[in-house]
Amino acid sequence: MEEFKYLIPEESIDAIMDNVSVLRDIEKDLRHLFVERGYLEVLMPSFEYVDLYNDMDIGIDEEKMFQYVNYEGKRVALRVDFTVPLARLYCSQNEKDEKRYCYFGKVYRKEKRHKGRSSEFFQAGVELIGKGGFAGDLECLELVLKTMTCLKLKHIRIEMGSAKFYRRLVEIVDDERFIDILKRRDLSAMKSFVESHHFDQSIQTLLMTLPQAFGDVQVLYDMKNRVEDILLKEAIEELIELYEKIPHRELLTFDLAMTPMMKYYTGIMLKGYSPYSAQPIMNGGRYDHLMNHFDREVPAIGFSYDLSHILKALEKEEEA
Amino acid sequence: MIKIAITKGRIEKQVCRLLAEKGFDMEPIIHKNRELMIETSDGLSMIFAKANDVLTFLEHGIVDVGFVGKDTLKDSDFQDYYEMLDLNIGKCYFALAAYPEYRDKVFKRRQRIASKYTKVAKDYFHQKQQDVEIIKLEGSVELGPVVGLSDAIVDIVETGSTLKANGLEIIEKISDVSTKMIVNKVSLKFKKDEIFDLIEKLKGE
Repeated sequence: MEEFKYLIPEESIDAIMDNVSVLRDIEKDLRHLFVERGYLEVLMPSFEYVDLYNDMDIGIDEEKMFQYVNYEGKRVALRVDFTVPLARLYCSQNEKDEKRYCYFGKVYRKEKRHKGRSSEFFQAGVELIGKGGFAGDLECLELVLKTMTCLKLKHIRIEMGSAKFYRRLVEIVDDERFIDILKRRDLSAMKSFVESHHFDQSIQTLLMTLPQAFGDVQVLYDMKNRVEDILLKEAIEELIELYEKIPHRELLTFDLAMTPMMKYYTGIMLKGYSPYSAQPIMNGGRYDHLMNHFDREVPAIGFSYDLSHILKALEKEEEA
Repeated sequence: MIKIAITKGRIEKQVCRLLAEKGFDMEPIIHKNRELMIETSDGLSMIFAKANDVLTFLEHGIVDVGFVGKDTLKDSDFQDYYEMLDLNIGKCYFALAAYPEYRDKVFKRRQRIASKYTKVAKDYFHQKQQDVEIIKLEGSVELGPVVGLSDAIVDIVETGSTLKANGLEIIEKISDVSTKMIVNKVSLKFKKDEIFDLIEKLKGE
């Protein structure tokens, strides 16, 4: 083993030394803000049953999990996400009321070798469970915008999409191939897809303009006038209403072509971007049916920051 | 400024010709020597790289846009980009090829398939619900059946002349390949106008 004396496994991230204080500062500010607003900090276990993640069909491949077989002969994984275990916690404690949880910790997802990606991610986030609809969305979005000053990044943008809009659209189009085309924003494939189907005129125009339907709030106003389907219109109006009610909305942008990163998203979806990070620095969304798995019907919404990406973006932003 | 990575070789020539046709200033590219990064007067910064490296640069946000063949995209595990435009150049296709006898041959063992594109080969047979052994070859994949290493090959076919010269035939066409314009997801958000401007110009008939 002598030759491995100084090596670390490829899965590990490099030890963080220079920026620990920055990371802790961000954490401290976030924690302060979360706790002040009634979010209870929870330290979650590092190990979870693989079946918990699989049964809930969250859209993370099993091959991304670090797994082993435990003494029961059951597969156990290192935590790959906080939302699912927190949903379980809520249900197993038989909670009935609104609950606000926040968490700080790592999640582990296997990445391909030699791609310069690490398999450990520092996350900080919240889950607001039991508060549905507009009021819940508003509280969550306000908190997101409040956290902006904690992150120390100068350039940042928060983007909102709608899983409701996406799911209704998938239902209308009713062809599996559409999902992949939209995910890839493939303008060429979209054109031939539309040409090979007999959609009515308004749907045709909608599909052709959808890949570009992102940017400031004007995108929503334009699209609202263009769609005819009542449910699509409703989904857009929800976003507009939030926008109009929220203070400090300068950073808010919208993307109607956003597809759900987690399969469990049902309502608004959130993403945070820095021009200095090739990956989103924040992800979130409403997930009102996740707890059906525990035979419960509880609305919920949450978001999480990826602090590792934020640290990298901070470094690059300073250099620039 | 949009940063672009272009696949070296055949795709580089075709993409540069297309950009020139669409009115982009390609002089600095035509007269390049050994420089690795070149800026044009249209505000494009270009690097030239091997196909898989184009994906790596895009993944890390080093470039905003990549020009790369569908063959590379199909064989890569990295899928986190927008594949926005089919340039309709560099057209060829993936195919299963072998000696004619292969068609009627009944195998009493696992078939052996040689390919440079192991993921494409695996997906193809998986979809046919067949279990095969895949052997990776880096080039001249036709050698597989010729030297008796494999029963068939999965490869990209342009004219089919190499196959023909070695007595091999196309058993089945798998999927089309052409050059794609891919875009980093975060770049699209911050450089919307510039990127759609490039798309419009490339699309313009």
